Amino acid sequence: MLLKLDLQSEIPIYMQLKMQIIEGIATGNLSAGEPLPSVRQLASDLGINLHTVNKAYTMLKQDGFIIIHRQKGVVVSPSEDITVTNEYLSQLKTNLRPIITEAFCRGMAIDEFNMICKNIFTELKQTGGEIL
Amino acid sequence: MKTSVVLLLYLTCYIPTLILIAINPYITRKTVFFGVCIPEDAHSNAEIAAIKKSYRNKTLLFGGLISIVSFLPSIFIQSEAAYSFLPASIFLLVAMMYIFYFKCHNQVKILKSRMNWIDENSQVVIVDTTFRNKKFIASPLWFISYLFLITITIILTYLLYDTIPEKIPTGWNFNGEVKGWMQKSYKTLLWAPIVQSFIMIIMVFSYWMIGKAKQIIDPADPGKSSDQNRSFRYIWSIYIITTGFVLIAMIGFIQLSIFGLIKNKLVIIALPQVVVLGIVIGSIILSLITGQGGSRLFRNKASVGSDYGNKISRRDDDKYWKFGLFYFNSEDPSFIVEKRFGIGWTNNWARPISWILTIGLLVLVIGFTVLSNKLTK
Repeated sequence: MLLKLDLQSEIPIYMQLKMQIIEGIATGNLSAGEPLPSVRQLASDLGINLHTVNKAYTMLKQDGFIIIHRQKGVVVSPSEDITVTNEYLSQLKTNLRPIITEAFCRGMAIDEFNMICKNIFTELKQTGGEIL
Repeated sequence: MKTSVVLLLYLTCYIPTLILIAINPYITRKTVFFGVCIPEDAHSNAEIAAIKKSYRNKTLLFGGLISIVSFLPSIFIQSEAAYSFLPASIFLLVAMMYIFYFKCHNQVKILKSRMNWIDENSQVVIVDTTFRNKKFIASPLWFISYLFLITITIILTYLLYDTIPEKIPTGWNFNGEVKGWMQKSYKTLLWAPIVQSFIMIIMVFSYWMIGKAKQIIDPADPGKSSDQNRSFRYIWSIYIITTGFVLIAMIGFIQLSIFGLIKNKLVIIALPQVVVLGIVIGSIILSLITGQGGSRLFRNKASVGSDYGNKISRRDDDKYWKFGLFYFNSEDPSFIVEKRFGIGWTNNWARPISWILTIGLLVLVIGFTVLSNKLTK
C-alpha cells in the first residue's frame, strides 16, 4: 500500500499515518496478515521522527488493527480480530457526540446526517482495490 | 610502445571520467536540477535548457584541455616520473566539475526564486509499505563466490610456493619491464588475499548501503516510481557484486603472474586496464539506462495505478541540502539517502552513524595501505 503523508498539514502526522493504515485495511489495500515496515524502517523512509511512527503503531496495536511480533515484525491483524467491541462502541459514542451536536445545532435533519454516513460507508466498500 | 600505452591510459581513465562528469545533469532525477528542487515541467524552460547545455559544453571543453595538457609530459619526457601527472589531473577534472556545478547550482537557485517555483505546500511524502517485501536487491549469497576466489588464491599460493622463483617482481612499468624485485616469502605473497579481502569489505559495504537507503517515491506517479526504484537498486547491486568479483579475480590473476604461470607481458599490463575500462564503461551505460533512482527506467510504460495527477511534485527539501550536495537533517532518522547530483547515495551528516562509518572506512583504507606497504618491503 502507498502511504501518503502531508508534512505541512494541520492534522498531526501520527494521526494521518493511523488513519491511512485503517483506511487501507477497510478498503482491502492492506490484507490480513500482510507485513508492515518496522517502526525504524518506516520512520526512515518517511524521513520523520521514530516516536511519531511508534505512536501511530502503538495506537493501532491497542485498537487491534495490527500485531507487533518480536521476531515476525509488524503485521495486519486477522479480520476476525477487528470487530466492534464494547470499548470501541463507547469510544465511538464519545467521539460522535460533538460532531452530531454541531450538526444538530445547525439544524441538520437526521436523514441528511444518515445519508452522509451511508455515502461514506458505500464509498469505502467501492474503493476496495483502488489506491486512496 | 610508449605512445600507445599513453593512449590506452587516456582511453581508460580520462574519456570515461569526462563522459561521467558531462552526463551528470542528464542522469539525475527530473525533479532535481544541480541540487535544486524544480518542477518537472521546468525542463522545457529555455534558461534551464541553456544551463544544462553550457555545463555539458564547458566540462567537455575544459576537461578535454586538462586531459591533453596532462598527457603532454608523458609523451615528451620519456621518464616514468611524467606518469605521476596522470592521477593528479583526474583530481583536477573532479575539481573542475564542482566549480561548474556550483556556478549552475547558484544560477538555478536564483532562477527558482525568480520564477516562483518554491512551493511551501508541497511537503507530500509517499512510502510504499510493500517496498521491501518484493525483490529489490540481488541475493547476498553471491558474495560467497568472493570467498571462493580468495580461498583458491590462498590454496594455490600455498601449493605452488616451492615453484615460485626466489625473487619476485613488485610490479611492471608501461613497457612491460619489471619495476623492482623482492625476496619471496609467505608474508609478501599474503598481499593478494589481503587486497581481495579489502575489496570484499568495500563491496559488501556498498551492497549494504543500497539495501538501507531511504525510498524516494515521486508523488506524480507513485506506482511506477516505486517499481523504478526497486529495479534501480537491483541493477546496481548486481553491478557492485560483478565489479567486486572481477576485481578479486584480477588480483588472483596478478598473483598467478608472479608465480610465472602467466608469461605474456602484454596480458599482464593490459588486463588491469581492460578491467578498469570495463568497470567504468559499465557504469556509464548503466547510469544512462537507469538514471538516478531509476528515473530513466520504464519511461514508455503507462503509469501504474495513480490518481494523483501531475500537479504535486516531490517534497521540497532544499533547506536540508548544503550546496545541494550535503544532506543535514536531524529530523530524518535515515542515514543513507539518494544523491542529488549524479548516481548513487550519500549520507545524512546529521546522523552520528554517518561520521562513524566514514571514519571507519578511512581507518580501513589507511590501515590497508600501511599493511600493504609493510608486506611488500
